[in-house]
Amino acid sequence: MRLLVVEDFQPLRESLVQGLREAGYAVDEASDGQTALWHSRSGEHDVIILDIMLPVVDGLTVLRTLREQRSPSLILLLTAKDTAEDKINGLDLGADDYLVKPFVFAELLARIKALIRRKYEARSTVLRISDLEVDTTRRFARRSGKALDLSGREYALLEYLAHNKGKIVSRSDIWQHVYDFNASPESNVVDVYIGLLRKKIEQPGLPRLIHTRRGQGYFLSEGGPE
Amino acid sequence: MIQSLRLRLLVHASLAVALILALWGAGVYYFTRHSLEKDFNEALLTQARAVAATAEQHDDGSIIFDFDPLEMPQFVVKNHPDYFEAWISPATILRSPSLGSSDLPRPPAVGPLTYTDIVLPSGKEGRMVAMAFPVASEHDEAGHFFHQQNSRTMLLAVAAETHSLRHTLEQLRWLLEGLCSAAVVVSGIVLMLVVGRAVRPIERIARDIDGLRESDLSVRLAVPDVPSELRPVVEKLNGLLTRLETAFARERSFTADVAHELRTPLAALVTTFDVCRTRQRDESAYIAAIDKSRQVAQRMQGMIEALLMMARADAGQLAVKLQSVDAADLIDDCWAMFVHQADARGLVVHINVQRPALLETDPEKIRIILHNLFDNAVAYANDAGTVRISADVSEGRFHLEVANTGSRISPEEVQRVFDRFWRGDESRANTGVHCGLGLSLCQRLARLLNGEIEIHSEKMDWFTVRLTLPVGTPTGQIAMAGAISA
Repeated sequence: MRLLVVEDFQPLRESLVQGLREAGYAVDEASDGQTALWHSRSGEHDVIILDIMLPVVDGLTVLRTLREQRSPSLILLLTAKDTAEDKINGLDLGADDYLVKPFVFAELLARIKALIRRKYEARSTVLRISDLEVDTTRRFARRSGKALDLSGREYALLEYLAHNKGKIVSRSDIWQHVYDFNASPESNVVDVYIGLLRKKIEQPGLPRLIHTRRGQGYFLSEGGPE
Repeated sequence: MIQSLRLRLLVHASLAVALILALWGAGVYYFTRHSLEKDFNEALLTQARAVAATAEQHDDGSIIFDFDPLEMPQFVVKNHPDYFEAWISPATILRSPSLGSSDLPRPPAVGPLTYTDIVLPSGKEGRMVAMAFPVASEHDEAGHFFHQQNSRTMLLAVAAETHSLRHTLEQLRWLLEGLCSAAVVVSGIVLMLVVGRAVRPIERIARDIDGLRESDLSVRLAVPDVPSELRPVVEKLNGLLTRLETAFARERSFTADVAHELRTPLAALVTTFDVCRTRQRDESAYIAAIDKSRQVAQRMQGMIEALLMMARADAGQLAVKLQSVDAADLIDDCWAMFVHQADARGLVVHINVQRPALLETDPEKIRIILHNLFDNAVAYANDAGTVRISADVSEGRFHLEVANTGSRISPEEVQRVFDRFWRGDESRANTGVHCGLGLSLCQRLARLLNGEIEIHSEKMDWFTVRLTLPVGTPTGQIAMAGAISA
């Protein structure tokens, strides 16, 4: 899952980015509204964490612009403005959530997860594909009741595929949602991670779950694509 | 001191009315008494003349009174009689029948006419007129010439009761006193009504003022139906309300700003701690987190101190301690703290300071100003840009100019740099060191020292701060400057 953190106060931005990356998200960052708009123009971020008081272009303008552009990204306003009017105004402009500074980092993580579930229309925190379970809260996966030992990147890739269960996702989709903007886009990185994930998931005697559609991408399913 | 305006008006007006009436009453009383006494005295004198006219001197020198009780019954009657007594020679005394055997007090035989208040033989108060006059002889009537040769002088006293005069005057006094008192009471009541009506607008304004709440300062007092004397007061009050409303709005937004500006670094601290604790880390990661937190805490401390100092400057509580200082030394001292940072950023620095630059001022305040200006210049100059510091004394004033290249502030935005919490383009600068209070603090401090700060800026060009200070500052004006800056 790919996030964008828009925060002008450098120490806070650094800690947010570090914490979110460690939680397994691909994170881009911006310190002003203009950069935020430039980053988010592709709509590849699942959640944008947006401050309101920003230099150059303020957060509410960023929010309005993204909603006018029908950006699919969910937006969480993270701001020191705490009055009911501020919250109402932010949510009415199209924000999906609102969190007041200072906040508990775990709460921010929980809210981001809830937003991602909403985005992929998942009611449950546990995604199931056949006998594969992906627990998005505790961030781990099981096959036939046996825990899989996945790295953060591998888990992020699996969760992304699970959220898009039965849908073909291209390499660039995976690239955009799972990897940081800063990571260098080497063409076979996605294939390498898919290979690593397959080794851990696919087991003899159990049905194949990760399928390759040549020239199009990958999909996670019991049978063929939907 | 009477606090109520109504009562004060009432008391003063009533006192004035009472005084006027008392003077008038006293005037009437004394005038009437004077004329009544004059009438009384004249009546007494007429009586005396009538009595005297009955006296006649015979040829043998004896004096005979041709007194007829029927003609002058007042000297005979039992009730409230009049009296007379005549002393012709020391031995000869003639008394009115009313006197019986008692005497009137004998007047000294001087002066043609004397009036004396006496106690009458009846024990009542009375008045006596005494006169000395020559008695007419028989021949006078016949037209003889020599009457003056052996005419004799008679001393005559006539007295009458003054009871009725006193009574009349007493009645007049009572009447006047009663009238005056009644008039004072009536005028008091009338005044009370009039004053009550007159102060009613004041009471209405007082009610209106009482209805004002600090939560809603947009209310204004109605001006049109206020008496013209009170209109300036109401207008001044409305002006005050406008100023208060602006000040309150400013304070409210300032409080919100402070909350916002403190919450953001606080969020950075909490998030840094939270993230740090999510897993076991190696020592260097903890040290980095501690260093970062310390920097954030330092920024918060700086912000709180700047806020406190501004609040004190605004409240006129910032003491100014004047000393003779060389501003060139101060500049050297302060700049020393930024040399390293300027080198690290690859800045070209030009310093052109006239020595000595002697000032009578508060060095601590100057230090704070210099620190802020240098800090801004080094932090906001473009990479490998230029910082220029120049200072001199001319025309009795000290001039300091601190400039840096790479300004991101347009000429239109220049005045906003003095707003609390305003930062220019923050994308590069908001590293947690600058909180947007420096220049507004500098401006207040400069004003406190009777100086002024001006700023010029062109985008992508020079950002220049000019500080002007008087070389010597009279102390009296400093206190004023502190109060005005609020």
